[in-house]
Amino acid sequence: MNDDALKKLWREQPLPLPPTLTGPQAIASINQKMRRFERTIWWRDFREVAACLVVAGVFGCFFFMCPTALARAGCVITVLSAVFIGWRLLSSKRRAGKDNPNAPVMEALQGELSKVENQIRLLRSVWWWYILPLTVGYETFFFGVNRNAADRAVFVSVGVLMGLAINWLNQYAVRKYLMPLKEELESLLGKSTPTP
Amino acid sequence: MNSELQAADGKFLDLVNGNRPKILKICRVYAWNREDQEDLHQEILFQIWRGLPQLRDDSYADTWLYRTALNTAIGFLRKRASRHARTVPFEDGHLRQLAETQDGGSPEPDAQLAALYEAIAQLDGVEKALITLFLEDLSYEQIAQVMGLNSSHVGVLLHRVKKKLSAMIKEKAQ
Repeated sequence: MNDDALKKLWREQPLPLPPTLTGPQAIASINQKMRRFERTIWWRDFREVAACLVVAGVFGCFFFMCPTALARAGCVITVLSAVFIGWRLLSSKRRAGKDNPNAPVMEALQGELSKVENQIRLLRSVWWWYILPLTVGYETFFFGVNRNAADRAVFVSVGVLMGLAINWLNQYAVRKYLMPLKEELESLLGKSTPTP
Repeated sequence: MNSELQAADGKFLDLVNGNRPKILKICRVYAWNREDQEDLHQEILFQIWRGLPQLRDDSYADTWLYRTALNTAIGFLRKRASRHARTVPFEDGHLRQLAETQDGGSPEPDAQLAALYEAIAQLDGVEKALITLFLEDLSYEQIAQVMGLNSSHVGVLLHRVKKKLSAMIKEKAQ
């Protein structure tokens, strides 16, 4: 089949056209979807920051109730870690930029790829910016309030195991979901470079 | 303020209603069954509405609409592929899709059209976009504007995609 025949076949295909959109109902329904979308985005951002604020608030209060300098140091480390984590999450999101569905196709794909790469970087380094500072903070706090060696050993072991598990889950997500997505996007973008 | 909103509403309705066949064909290329096509259709309408304030020059409306619809469709395809892990085999899904979306007239899907859709289904997201724009009879220049490539590169890529498509259709016919 030549080009013209293909185009004719395409042009003349039977199409079950959806009904014409009319009047305020159509607009109201799309506006409702828009509001739902904006609410979802707001809640997602709020949840991430709220968790950090709760941790910072709780350990901020503990600071004034702690009997020892070591426990107070633990509170300070935990509060600073929570603030740092919140900042890191927000700044990385801001750096990744907003969706632009009206951009040329290749540019939109490049934007998607940057977002995925940013997410991969974030998860690969989760040990350093998320797990370690928080673990050091609350372990120090616990050491300050409990002098029993056995309790301390159990707490440290549980804390380290939890940290390792969280790190493993994040690396699993990178391997299982983000790397294949990155490869797919790179393969699609590979077409934007002419090859001989 | 109110009249500005009404103008935006009118612009949206004109754009969507005037381009129903284009949007629907893109949905058929990127979605595997009627349910997915409807979801994708809704998503494209939503993205058109969301992006409408950025469309300042109406003379670019066609290019803008194709960009929005194709970007949404490529994203949709990626999300669906990872969610369903392609549990619907492409071939069966597409043949069923064609049979389902016929106008209710002919019980048998048009064999040539089915073969064409089936072949297109095997292309990746960017190739699907290129061949759709070609079949929609856009010039290389217009395709280049939608895709963000240069015209000569569009020519090279289209040549490859058409060759691939033709081989798949021939293979299926044998």
